[in-house]
Amino acid sequence: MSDPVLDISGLVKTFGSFRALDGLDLRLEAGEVRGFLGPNGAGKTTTLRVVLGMIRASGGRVRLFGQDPWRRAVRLHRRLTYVPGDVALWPGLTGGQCIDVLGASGPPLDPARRAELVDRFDLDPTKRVRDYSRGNRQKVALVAALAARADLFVLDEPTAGLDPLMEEVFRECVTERVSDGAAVLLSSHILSEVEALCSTVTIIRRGRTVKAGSVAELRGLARTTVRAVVPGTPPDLDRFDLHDLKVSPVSDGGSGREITFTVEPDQLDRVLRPLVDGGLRGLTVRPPSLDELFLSEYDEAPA
Amino acid sequence: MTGRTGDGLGTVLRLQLRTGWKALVAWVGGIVGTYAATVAAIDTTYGTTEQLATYEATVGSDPTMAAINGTPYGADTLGGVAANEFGFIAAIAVPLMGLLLVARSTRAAEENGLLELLRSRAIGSRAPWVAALLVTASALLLVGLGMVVSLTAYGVDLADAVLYGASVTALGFVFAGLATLAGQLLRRSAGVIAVGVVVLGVAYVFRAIGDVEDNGWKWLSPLAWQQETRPFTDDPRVWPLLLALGAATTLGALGLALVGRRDLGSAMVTSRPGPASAGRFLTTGPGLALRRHGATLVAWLVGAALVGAMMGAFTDDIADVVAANPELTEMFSAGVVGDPTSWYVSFTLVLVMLMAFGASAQVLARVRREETHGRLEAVLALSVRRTTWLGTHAAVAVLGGALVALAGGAGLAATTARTTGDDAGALVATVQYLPAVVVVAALGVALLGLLPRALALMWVAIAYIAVVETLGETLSMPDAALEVSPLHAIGRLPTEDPTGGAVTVVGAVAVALLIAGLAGFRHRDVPR
Repeated sequence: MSDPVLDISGLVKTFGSFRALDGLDLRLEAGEVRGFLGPNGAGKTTTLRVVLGMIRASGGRVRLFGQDPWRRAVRLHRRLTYVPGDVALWPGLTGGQCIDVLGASGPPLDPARRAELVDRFDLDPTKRVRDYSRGNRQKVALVAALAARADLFVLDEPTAGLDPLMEEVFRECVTERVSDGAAVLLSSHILSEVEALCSTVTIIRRGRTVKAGSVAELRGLARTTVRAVVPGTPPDLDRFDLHDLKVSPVSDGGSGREITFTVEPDQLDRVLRPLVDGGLRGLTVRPPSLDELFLSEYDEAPA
Repeated sequence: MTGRTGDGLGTVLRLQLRTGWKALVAWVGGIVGTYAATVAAIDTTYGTTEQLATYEATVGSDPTMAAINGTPYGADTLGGVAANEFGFIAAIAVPLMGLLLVARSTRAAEENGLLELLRSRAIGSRAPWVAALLVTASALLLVGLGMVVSLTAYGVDLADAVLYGASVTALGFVFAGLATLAGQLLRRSAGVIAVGVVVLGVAYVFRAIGDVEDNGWKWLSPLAWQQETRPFTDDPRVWPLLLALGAATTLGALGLALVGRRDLGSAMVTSRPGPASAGRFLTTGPGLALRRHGATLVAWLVGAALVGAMMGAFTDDIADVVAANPELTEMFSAGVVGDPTSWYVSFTLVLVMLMAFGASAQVLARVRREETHGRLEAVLALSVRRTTWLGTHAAVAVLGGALVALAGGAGLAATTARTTGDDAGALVATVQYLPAVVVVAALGVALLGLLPRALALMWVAIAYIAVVETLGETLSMPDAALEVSPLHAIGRLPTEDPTGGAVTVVGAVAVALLIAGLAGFRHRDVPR
C-alpha cells in the first residue's frame, strides 16, 4: 500500500511555555474526507500550519505524502491547495487576478474548471478585493483551491461567511474532487457539513486527539434516543442497560405514560419488545446524531 | 450636525493612548531629545557672543544654509543658531509626526476593520478623528514645551522660546489637519500618507525657493510660516503663527465635517472594476511584488527626481550670492568645506539618499504587512520557496531604493551641470552612495527574518542617519557614532572621494545582513 496522504503521530508544538499541540495523532488516506473538529483554541489551525510547513513541529512525527512538510514544503505544495480560515487577499487586485496569482504556483489550475466554479459560486471576478464582502472573499479562495488539480485539499472552516445556497455548491464541488480521488482535510464547526461530507473524523481537544474513527463507527458509539407512549403502568425496564430514563404522565392529560431514554443501538431491538407487548400508542426513535457525541467530547473534563 | 457623532470620545481616547503610547513616546522623545542635545552642543561650541557673531557672519549669510535649513534669522543668538541647525530635522520630522499619528489611528484602523467593531458600540463617527486630533495635538504641544524647556534651561528669554515652541507645534498642527481632510477623501492610509508627504515635499521646495531668491513663494509653504515668526530676532512676529493655526483649523474642520457625511469604510474617491483574470506577469513572484510596491516606488522616484532637480536649480543663485560676499568666498576658499556649490550638492544628495532609504523601508514595511494580514500564509501554502519570496521582495526594496537615489541624483546632475561644469558629478556620487541603500534595505531584511516584530527599528536607523548627516558635527558626536551611518562612512560626496575601505565594509555588512535575514526567514515560524 502506498504512503498515506497525511500521517501525524505524537505531534507537539510549543510557543514559549505554552503547549499548543500536545501529542496529536491524525491519519488521512487518498480519497478520504476527514473532518477535523475541536473546540475553539484546541489547536486545529496550528496543526494545519504545521502540515503546511509554515511552523515547525517541536516534537512528534508528521509525514505529508510520506515526506517532511517543513523541509519539503515547496515540493509538497505542488500537490495540495489550502483555504485559510481567515481569507486575506491583496486589496488592490480583483478577485479574478487573485485566483490566477494563487493558481500560478502549486497544483495546475484547470481553466475550464476555474470558469465553471466562478459561475457556480456566482462570483464577480472583476471586483476589487477591498470591495468584496467576507463571503465573496471566501469564494475567491475556494475557487482558487477547488479549481486546481490537487491530491489534497486542506480546508480551514471553508464555509464561514457563505450563504446556504453557496454551502451546497461547496459540498457538491468537494464531492466531485473526492470522486476524482483527492483527499480532503476539513476543519469545521458545522456538524451537518461534517456529517454530509466526511467519511472519517478526528476530534481534538487541548492539542490532543480525543476521538478518531469513521463517521459510522462514531455513530455506533452514540446512543439512540427513544420516546414511547404506553397506556397504564409502564413495563419494567430495569433489566436493560438504559440511560437518561424518564417516565412522566402524558401531556394531554390521559392515563398513559411517556417514557424517554437513550440506548446503545444494538440493544434497541430487545428494549422495544416489552414496550410493543404493553400496547404501544406512540413511538419516536431518533437515530444517533454526531451532535451529542461532539458536544460531550467538547465538554468533557481533560482526559 | 448633532453632538452625537462625537459620542464615545473618552473610550476612543483611552484606546488610542493604550495602543499608541509607544509611538507617541518615540516621536516626542526623539524630537525633543535631539533638539535638547542640539541646544546643548551649540551652547558649548558658540558659548560667547563673539563666537555667535562668527556664526552669523558666515553661516548667517550662506545661501546653501538658507536653501537647506531656511533663512537663519537671529543667527547671533543661541536660540537662532539652534533653530537654524535644527531647521531641516524640524521641517521633516514635525510634519511627519502630525501626519502619521493621525493617519495611523484613523484611516489605518478603519481599513483593517477595527473601527467597524468600535462603531458598533455607542461611538460616534467623529469620535475616532477627534480623539486622534486631540492625542496628536497634545503630543505636538509636548514637543513645543520640550523645546521651550530646553531653551530656557540655557538662558534663552522665555517669550522667545515660547514663540519658537508654538511655531513648531503649529507646523505639526497643519499636517495633522491635512491628514484629517485627506483621510476623508482617500480610502487607504497609505494614500493619505502619500498625499501628506507630497505636500511636505512641495512645501519644502517652495520654502527653499523663497529663502534663496528672497521672494513670496515661501508664503505658500507651512514651513515658512514656522520660520517667519523670527522668534530670536529683535522683531519677533506672532502673525505667521496665525496663518498656521488658521490653516490647521480649516483643514481639520473640513475633514471633521466630511466624516459625518460619508459611509464607514468609504471614501470620496472610489474604485472601479478591473480585469477578471491576471496577466502572465502578475502571476509571477516579481510581478506580484512589483504590483504591491510599484505605486509607492513610482511616487518616491518622481519625488526624488523633483527634489533633486528643484534643489539643484538654485546652485546658480547660490554661486552668485557667494561670489558677491567676500567673507563667504574666503571661508570656502579656505578649503574647509570645499566650494559652496559642491557642498550644497552634497547636502542635497544626502536628502536624496534619505528618500531612497525611505522608499526601501516603506517597501519592507509592506512586506511585513503581507505576513501580519495573513496573505503570506496563502502564498506559502503554494509551491513557493521562502527564500525566493523574501528574496524577491528584498530585491524590489534594494533596486527600488537604488532607482529612487539615481532618479534624485540624475535630477540634481541635470540642473547643476550648468553651474558646476560637471555633467555627471552628482550622478557619479549617487552611484558611489548606492552601497548605503543596500545596507539600509538589508537591515530591514535581517529584521524581517530574525526579529519581525522589531521591524520599526529600520525607521529608527534611518532617523539616526538623518541626525548624523544633518546635526552630527553640530552635536560633536564621537567618530565611532558618526561612522555607523553608512553615508558618513563612505564620505561626503562629491566633495571628497569615497573611502574605499568603507565601501567594502558597508557592502560586506549588507551581504551579511541579507544572508542572515533570508536564513532566519527560512527557519522561523510564519506567522510570527
